[in-house]
Amino acid sequence: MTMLLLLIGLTVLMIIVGFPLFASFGVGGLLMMIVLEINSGFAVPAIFTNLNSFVLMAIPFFIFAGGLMTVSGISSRIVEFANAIVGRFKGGLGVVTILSSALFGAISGSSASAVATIGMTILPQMEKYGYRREYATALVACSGLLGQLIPPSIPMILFGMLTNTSVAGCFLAAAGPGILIVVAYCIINYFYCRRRPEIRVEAFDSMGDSAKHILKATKRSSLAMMMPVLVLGGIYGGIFTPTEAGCVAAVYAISVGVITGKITRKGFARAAEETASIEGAIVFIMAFIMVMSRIFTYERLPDAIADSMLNLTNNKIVLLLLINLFMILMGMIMDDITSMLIVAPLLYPLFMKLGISPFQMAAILAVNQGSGQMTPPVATNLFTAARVSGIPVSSFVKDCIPFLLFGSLPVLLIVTFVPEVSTWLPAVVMGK
Amino acid sequence: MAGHENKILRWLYFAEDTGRIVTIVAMTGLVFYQVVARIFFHWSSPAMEEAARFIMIWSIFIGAVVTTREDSHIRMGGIFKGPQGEIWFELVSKTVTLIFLCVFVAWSYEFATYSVRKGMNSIVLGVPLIVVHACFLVTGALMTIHTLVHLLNQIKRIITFYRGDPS
Repeated sequence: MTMLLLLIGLTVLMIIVGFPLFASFGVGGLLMMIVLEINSGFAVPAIFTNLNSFVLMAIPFFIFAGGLMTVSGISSRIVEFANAIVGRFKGGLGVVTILSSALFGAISGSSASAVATIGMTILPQMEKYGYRREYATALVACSGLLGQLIPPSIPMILFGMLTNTSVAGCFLAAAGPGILIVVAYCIINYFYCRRRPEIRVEAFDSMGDSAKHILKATKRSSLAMMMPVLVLGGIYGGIFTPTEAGCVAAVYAISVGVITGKITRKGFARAAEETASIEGAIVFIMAFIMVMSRIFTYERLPDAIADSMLNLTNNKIVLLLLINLFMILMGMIMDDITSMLIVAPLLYPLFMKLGISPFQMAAILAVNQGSGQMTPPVATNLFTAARVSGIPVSSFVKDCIPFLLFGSLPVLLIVTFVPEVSTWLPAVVMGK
Repeated sequence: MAGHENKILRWLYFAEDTGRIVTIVAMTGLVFYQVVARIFFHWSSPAMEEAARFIMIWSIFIGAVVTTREDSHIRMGGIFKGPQGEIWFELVSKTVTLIFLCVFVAWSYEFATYSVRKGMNSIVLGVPLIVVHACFLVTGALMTIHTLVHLLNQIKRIITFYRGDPS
């Protein structure tokens, strides 16, 4: 066991030092096989068995659908829609950013793509109406978290696969905290904008004018807005599995692109190529993590971790706080996908022994690791937002603090200690 | 000679890029066909699902090959920030990656030959499983080639660096 822990340490060290993740996990797994004298014929069949999964296919499908919506320019209409509804109030553009990220999350399932797509559309507008560029960038970066909390969500597909939990249930479990984050961020944005006279609002001439504008924006965005309805309605209406819903979403995105004439052959090819590359980068790493994960199971490592944590203290509250602290630290040094792949199989038995439902565990991990994307040194959302806005991370990182301290952190504590936030929706919709 | 090598590499890149698009389109088409057939014609075939799964495995590994070619596999920021530290670390990183990929190719070869020897067939489609098992060997070999190219380029970079041209 000590040797195994040392090799896990070596793997983490390789990751931190900067080796490609697949090589870090691959070398870690290889050394474990040598030390534990496991037959070399074990690895590739294990990879094949784990990857030969229909559930896993949901990942490329949702990436493909999101990519197609972006290349066909349909995603920007979501911002237009949110702007028409709430953009004309004081601080309205901030709320537009938050809502657009949530709505985009209902299409792509990834936080980084939400930051890139929404950021490109909303940042120039926010600056035009008096928002500081630093604050606007911080808001875009933090709202990206909603991309992976609002279903569908790629980390939740991974969690479902790794722990044998219903993916549809995991989607719903993360939606509750997602809604809480929307509310918390809107309140923070309100308090920020309230005291700033430089933030202007473009007022409508009359109520009729406003209604006409909303109607026009709704009509223009209706094709994009239909996608979440189709995906979520299909899954929870019992028509599709999450994987099939991803596929239908992709075909829908192609159809919308063709109907509106916005999709080109080049754009389509680019979306397909990018999908395969992202899938190749993420799932390829997963293949080697799964080999390690099997070794952990053979060596009963997750159970040993659970027992040693329970020996440390029997107090559930203290344990959950410790686990959250550990995951926050993981989130600071790793991206959400990597930490999900490592943490989910290792801590699953501990959560079960603490009597926590897999859905609640999924929600805790989603909020925790999503928030980790806003905490340096490894903060994908901050880096993506910095690239989109053209300012360094150091200049807007302090504007992220209120969203972390008064938004993500309280929601994380609520999700950890109030199970109903994550278990209520799956219970109502799926009876689980 | 160099012209031939370039031609082969160009052909290889074209095959990899086309493979990325074809696999994604094929699996989308198959699963969508299955959904339509089930909903509208109350007909469903597990063969479609199995074929889509096999194509997905190819798609994942072709994606990984292109990611290796573009040297853009996911990695953390790293701790070596200075130009000297960075070039030496990259050399170590690429060497370790190359060694690991060679081991992976050896594992894949073992698996592929085992699959052929045992005459393994898929459960639903009944096709020889080597059509999908070979993917690990083929893409593993391609990733090894690309990593070797990166390693050689890195060595050239180090030589250039110490000759006084830090660019």
